Amino acid sequence: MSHEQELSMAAPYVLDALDDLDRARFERHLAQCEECVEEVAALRSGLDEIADATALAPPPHVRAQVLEQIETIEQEPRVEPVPIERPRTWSSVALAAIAALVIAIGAVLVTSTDPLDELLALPDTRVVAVGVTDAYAGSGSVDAVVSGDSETVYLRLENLEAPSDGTVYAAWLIGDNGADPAGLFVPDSDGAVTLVLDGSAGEGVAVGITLEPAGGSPLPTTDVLFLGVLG
Amino acid sequence: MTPTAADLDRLLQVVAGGDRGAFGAIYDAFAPTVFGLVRRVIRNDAIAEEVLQEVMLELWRTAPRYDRARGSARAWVHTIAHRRAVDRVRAEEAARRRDVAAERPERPYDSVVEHIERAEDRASVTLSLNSLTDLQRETIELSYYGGLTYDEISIRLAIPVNTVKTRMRDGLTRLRGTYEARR
Repeated sequence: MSHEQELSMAAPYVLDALDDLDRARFERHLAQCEECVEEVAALRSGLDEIADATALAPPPHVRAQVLEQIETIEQEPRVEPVPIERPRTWSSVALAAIAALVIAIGAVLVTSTDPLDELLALPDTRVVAVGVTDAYAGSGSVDAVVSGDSETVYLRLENLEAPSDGTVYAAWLIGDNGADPAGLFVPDSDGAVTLVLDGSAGEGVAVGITLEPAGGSPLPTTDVLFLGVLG
Repeated sequence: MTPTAADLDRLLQVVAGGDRGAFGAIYDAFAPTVFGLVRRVIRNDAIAEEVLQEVMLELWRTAPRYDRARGSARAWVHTIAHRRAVDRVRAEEAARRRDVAAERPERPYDSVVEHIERAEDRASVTLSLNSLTDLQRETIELSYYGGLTYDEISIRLAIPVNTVKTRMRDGLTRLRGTYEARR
């Protein structure tokens, strides 16, 4: 996504007019972009006016209930403000135009976002931002969408470099028994791909992404590029 | 005596230090605007009251994360309140759609999306949004009060997503101009 496109997400973000996935992605961008942080703050100030206009006296009994409840609730720890990172500049990677998505072994590539949208609409679904490892030098990002019962895991990847000839991306579900293959995939010409993993996300299970020879491998043969705990 | 914005920022920082007594003042300062905002989005008294409580508890729990450098206490509080309200209305809508799909009897609170138009509600919000063009107002109402995503608005109004985003941005910018001109 170009920076102009990112910036255009600021207004919907301020109005909470983004779905969970877009919101998570934009917040990740905000952590690295001072210009967008300022844009958000500027747009948000317009909403202060509305808040006063719609004020309404709450039911009187709520006050005592809330004050009683906080007696037994701990606050979250104070976090040091993180300085905004300067945007990393990447060497330009020419993304090969990929005409057709590869339907891979063990994973189902999602061509319509409807099932994913349905999952996102459920209240107990969680979105996990999967972390980048030191072995990865690109600008890609990965989000995992996990159903409340941890049985269904979608991965949404963006800005992924095209794998070189003869290689393919592989997803792994990593638990006590080691890494199980969870699907192979190749991004489209925009570097994006959404897939549902072959497997589930139990407690402590992590998802990992590596590059493997075409056809995949029974176990990872290269450095893990993305890694995140799902459970 | 109405607390100033600076008073509220300081008060929130005191609460961030764990002062439960000071939280009562935070509740008094913010409950009306929070409840009003939540009630506008959720349009159901019982659920709005639940979400008001959830918002207040979240304010208490996460107060230590409030960073004055990132914005005013008001902005922080209303951001949390609005997000919770929208998340709740979307969850209720999804539940209602699932009930309909499964042909289960719809829950009593499906009035979540019914239009309760009270004369004073319309008047007060119209006054604020008066400075906007009709198109900007429509876009902001559908998103900010209706809980729709920009994608959903684009589909509902049959206009490009970029048009939706531009109207949102222009509308917010205009609201900010009105606000600053009045102060």
